[in-house]
Amino acid sequence: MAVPDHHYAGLVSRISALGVDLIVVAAASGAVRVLPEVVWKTVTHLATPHWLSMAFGLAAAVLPFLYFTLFWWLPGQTVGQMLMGIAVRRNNGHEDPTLVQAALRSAFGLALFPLWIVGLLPILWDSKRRAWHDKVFRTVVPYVSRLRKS
Amino acid sequence: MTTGSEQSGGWWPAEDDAATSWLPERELPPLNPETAGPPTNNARPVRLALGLAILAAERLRATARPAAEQEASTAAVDRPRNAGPSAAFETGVGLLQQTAAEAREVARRAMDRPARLASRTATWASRLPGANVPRRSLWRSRERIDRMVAEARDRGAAAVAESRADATAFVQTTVNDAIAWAQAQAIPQIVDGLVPHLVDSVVPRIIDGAMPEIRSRVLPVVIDDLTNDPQVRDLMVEQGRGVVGEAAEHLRNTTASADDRVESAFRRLARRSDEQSSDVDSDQSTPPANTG
Repeated sequence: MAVPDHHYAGLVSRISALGVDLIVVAAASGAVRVLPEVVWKTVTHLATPHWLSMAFGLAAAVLPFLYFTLFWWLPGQTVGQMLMGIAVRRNNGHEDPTLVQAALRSAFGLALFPLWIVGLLPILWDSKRRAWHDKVFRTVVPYVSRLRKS
Repeated sequence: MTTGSEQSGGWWPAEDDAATSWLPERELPPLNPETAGPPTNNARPVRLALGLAILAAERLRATARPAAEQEASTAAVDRPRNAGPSAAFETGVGLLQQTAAEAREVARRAMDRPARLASRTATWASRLPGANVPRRSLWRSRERIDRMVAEARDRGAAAVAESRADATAFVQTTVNDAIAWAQAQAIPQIVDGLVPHLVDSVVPRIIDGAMPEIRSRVLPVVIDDLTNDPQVRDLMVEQGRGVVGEAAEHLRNTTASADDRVESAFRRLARRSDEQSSDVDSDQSTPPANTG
């Protein structure tokens, strides 16, 4: 069993970040799903059209994918990861993931969520604390706050 | 005819000066206070009293006069307002001094026998025929009076100046002593006695009285100023950022140490299971001991 590199985030940090992200995504999706209908009814005093419900339902469904993809691609970290001081990087540990990398990582995680959770267990014994999806999509998750300090 | 004064060379009165024999013939003591030496202990209280009276008179004069009159008088008269007493007063003081000095001298002479004899002789000589020459005597008397008045004025001025200086020094010393005493003795006691009373009753009453006014008038203005002040706003944002940053840093450190602890626990668990499995393998591979 390889000795872990303590520059990379461990299981607790990553699960905590994921928990925060899930709360954020759930709140945002619920808001996107419900708020427009409430606003519509308040303003027009009419029943919500089917197309509007469908549109915002679809937006609420796509929102988690967009959230993870965009946050991993642009700043390299989601809100939960910002809070925990960790970030997703390419295998070299310095560059942000590409859009494709981020999108595939996000789609895989959301589509196979149980597998995503189980796939976090290899963090415990991997030398770079990588999960399965990190190995598949060639990413690592270092502590950015520690890196900045060092 | 020679006069008595020429014969004796002292204060002896001439026979034609009998009418003015009470006037001093001898030299007056020096007028300069520095050369005159220190004042006697007997003269000092009197001089001090005189100086205090002069200071008081000056102060009374200053407060009694209206401002307009002061301006007019200072513009009209050459003598300044605080220039001290008048020339007449100074002359009076000088005459008083001379009188006192002469009285002392006469008393001394009266006790002296030759002096009495001389006095009788002078009286006798003044009754001789032809001794009185009124016109010349009058002229000499006037001259002597004038000289005496001038000397008295100078002497009085010097005495007044000395008295005034003494009184000023005395007042200054007294005031300084009083202030020093108050600082060392009175004020601490007053403050010690006053502070509990102030804290217990006066200050609470002031606060109770002022609080409604402060709440209704002052606080809204202060809050308005503070909320509109960009510096205060920046400071609050910066402080908020600092608090959030510290909390986030604490959370990060906690989760990072939790990462390490979970991982080391997992490693211990894995090592123990490895050891157990290796023990089981070794037990199975080892041949049973020969008991026979």
